[in-house]
Amino acid sequence: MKLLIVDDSTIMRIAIQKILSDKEIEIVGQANNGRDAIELFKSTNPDFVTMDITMPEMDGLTCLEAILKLKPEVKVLVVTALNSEAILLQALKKGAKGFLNKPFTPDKLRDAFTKMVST
Amino acid sequence: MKEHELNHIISTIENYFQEVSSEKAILGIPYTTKIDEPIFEFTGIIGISGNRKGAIYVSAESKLLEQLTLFIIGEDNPGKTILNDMVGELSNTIAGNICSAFGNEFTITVPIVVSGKVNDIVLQKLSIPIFVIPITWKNSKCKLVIGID
Repeated sequence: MKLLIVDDSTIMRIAIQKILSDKEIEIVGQANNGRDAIELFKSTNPDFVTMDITMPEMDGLTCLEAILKLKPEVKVLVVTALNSEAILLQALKKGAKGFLNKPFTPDKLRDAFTKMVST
Repeated sequence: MKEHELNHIISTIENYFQEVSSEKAILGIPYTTKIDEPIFEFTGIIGISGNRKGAIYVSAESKLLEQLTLFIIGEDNPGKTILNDMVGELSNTIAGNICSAFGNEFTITVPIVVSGKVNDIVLQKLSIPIFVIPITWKNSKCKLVIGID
């Protein structure tokens, strides 16, 4: 399973990589904004993406729409500090397969990712 | 700012440290200030727009950020770049988490991070009255400063 990590925080990208890296998940790339994420998406063709929302250059919801147009079957887990119901609904309406609020424990991230994979 | 909004902010801060480390943060009594508020070595600034305008900043000692970094990614000797990133992520997470108390039109910016004593730049964005919540976690300090109309 190929995973692309998108978050403008270096610490978050490292944390997600450490928590989700295992024998079955290959981290194929990391991007710190939505625009770079789209280019990396095209070159790495991941099966799954973790996506932050508040980022410079291009926000995560805009990026989500763009990558789903490129590959409708990709599964995206939105991982964000924004905990409003409106944001959750927007993300799901745009096609996200999962939603996880920050801060998260390693177990919560693993559970959310596993749940997304099985949808 | 209304009392229930301040209470929500307090709960958000407590939840953050509990979730990240399982160790409670101790919050001091919130106070208001209209004058230059001293800041610590690293400060993350989040602009607020939409139905409310102003800013939030989280200012922290390097010791607190080093301990957070250790908990989150296991790095025990982070450099300044990582500490800047950590305070940015801390401020972003707390600001994002308080959204639900302020309505659907509450919008936050990406964090601006400053190091050192730059009070004039930091305080420009805050709307009066400015609330300060002192925070102690693992014997190190930070503060949340919020000024939203």
